Amino acid sequence: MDLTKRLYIFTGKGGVGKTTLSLAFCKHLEAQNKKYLYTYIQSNKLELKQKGLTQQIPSEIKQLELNLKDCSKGYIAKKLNSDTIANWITKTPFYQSLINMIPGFSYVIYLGQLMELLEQDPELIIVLDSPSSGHTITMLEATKNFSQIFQSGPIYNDTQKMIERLESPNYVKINIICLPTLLAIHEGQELREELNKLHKFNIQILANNILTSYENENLPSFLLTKIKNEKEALHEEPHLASIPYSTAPTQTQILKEIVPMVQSLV
Amino acid sequence: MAFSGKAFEIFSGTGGVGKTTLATSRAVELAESGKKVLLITIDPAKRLKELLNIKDEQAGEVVRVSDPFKTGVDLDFDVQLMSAPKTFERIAVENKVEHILNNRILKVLTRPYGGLNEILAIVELNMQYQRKYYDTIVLDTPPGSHFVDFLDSINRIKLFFDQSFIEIFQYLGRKVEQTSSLNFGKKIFNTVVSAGVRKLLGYLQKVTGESFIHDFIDAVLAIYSTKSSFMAALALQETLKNSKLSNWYLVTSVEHNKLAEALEIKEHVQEILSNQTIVILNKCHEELLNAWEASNSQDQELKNSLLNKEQELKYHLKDHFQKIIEFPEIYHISPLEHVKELGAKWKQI
Repeated sequence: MDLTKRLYIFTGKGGVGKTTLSLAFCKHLEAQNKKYLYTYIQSNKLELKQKGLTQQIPSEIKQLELNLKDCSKGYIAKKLNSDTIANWITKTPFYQSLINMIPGFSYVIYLGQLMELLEQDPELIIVLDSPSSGHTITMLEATKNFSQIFQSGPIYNDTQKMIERLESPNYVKINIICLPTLLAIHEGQELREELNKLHKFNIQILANNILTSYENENLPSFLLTKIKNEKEALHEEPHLASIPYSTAPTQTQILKEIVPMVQSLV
Repeated sequence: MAFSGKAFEIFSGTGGVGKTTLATSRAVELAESGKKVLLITIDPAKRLKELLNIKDEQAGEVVRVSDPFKTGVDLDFDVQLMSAPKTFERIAVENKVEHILNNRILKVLTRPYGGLNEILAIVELNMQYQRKYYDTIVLDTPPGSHFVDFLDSINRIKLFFDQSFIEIFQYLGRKVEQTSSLNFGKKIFNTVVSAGVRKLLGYLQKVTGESFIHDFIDAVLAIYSTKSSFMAALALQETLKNSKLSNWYLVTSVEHNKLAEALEIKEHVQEILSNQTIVILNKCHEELLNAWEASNSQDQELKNSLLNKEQELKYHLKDHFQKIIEFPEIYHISPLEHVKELGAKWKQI
């Protein structure tokens, strides 16, 4: 995978390997002596760290902890030069309903925060483990929606700047991860279409958990059919990057297997 | 049939697990048993749209699907592709306030990813229910955490239309129409609350720009003028809660590593609905794997890995859910065959 962009977004349906791949990409960056930060969108309600059921982020990964809610508070504090006022504003029902009505609001500020970090440090690369595809569209579309909603003022100016950056060719790369089924690959392509309607993004589709390398005549017929379907599905996308299924029993081991493959991913 | 269709059949689940296909197969099966069925779907993939005979420009309309399998039998049901702008248009017409459709902020917010989707989905669902035409409405909800937003929207409607809050807006709204800025002149609010609001808006407009605050207040007032449609939708919560009237399915699949998300959705469902959730575990192939006698170590490793993955998921699910229905993995590529086979599976439950 080329390492020339500033912001790498990994998206796709839940459970297809977004976190594993973005972590593998971070480890690859590390090995190349690149300066990076890994971040995932922590929404207000969803505390996924339940009972260790979600994937643990290895401690050696350099992580940027950003909470959507704190982000907008921080932004307002900065613009008004006061934490106290920002604290008060974000607690009011008016503000709460504004956030409720316009969920893109937090996303824009979040994305803006990432972009600011990238501006401060020209060496830095940010790897964003993004939530499901719908949220990714909401986040990226929000910049556009907001310049239309606000029309003037600091947020407007900031979104204009963000749009400019998103549109510059070497800024962002979006990786859409999907399973190797026809439906999933078509959905990945449809997501790419949606995203391309917003900006001309650099987008790569990656198919994960591919069984083809296990193919041999001793496999039971249902697996052979599965593999046959898989091949047909992969055929649908000419520039697809593919990652084989791993039989490793733990996430840590799977990660270890995938890191060396990152280099060869388109 | 042990599993008769109820007024609402609601399918939730993480993305890509086959939720839409399963919901479609349920609609087909219920239609086959002679029920009048409406399938409401959020964002099906193109191939499923083709199967269901819906075109993008028909979004928001109710479309009749007749004899989808081309077998000459009398089988039809209705499909509606959820469309936030169309629903909002209907709400405006119903409340005779068509002019609010011109509000700049509302135009953006009612776009497909604009943010009001989930709330509008609840309203649409209620509008269809109130027609009292269908025996069953099968609802394919937005994936993953969007579903949580969907459930949450009932609370959001309540919060939004909180009386005291709205009164302040009404007052401000009149003012906004009369004056060109948010300078309220000598008119000072008597209560502490309204003084607070004025100060708040003053601060906020430093960040958001002045025109936004004006338009946002207009947008809030515009939505307020359609309050009755939203409040009517609140009543739906009771129907959805009633296990005699609604079945809730939580769909997950063996090939997705999504136990945590499933549990999370369950927690939210329980918060809002006391109802019991039925888990559908899709794409199971344990039986087939067990029947396979792997002859070499690489095959054995693959078999064990696939088996472990499935068994582990089932084990955890059983810990948290009382009712689990397993659906087999379907190896047909054609979505038509897919729906047909799943439909047959429903009959066996």
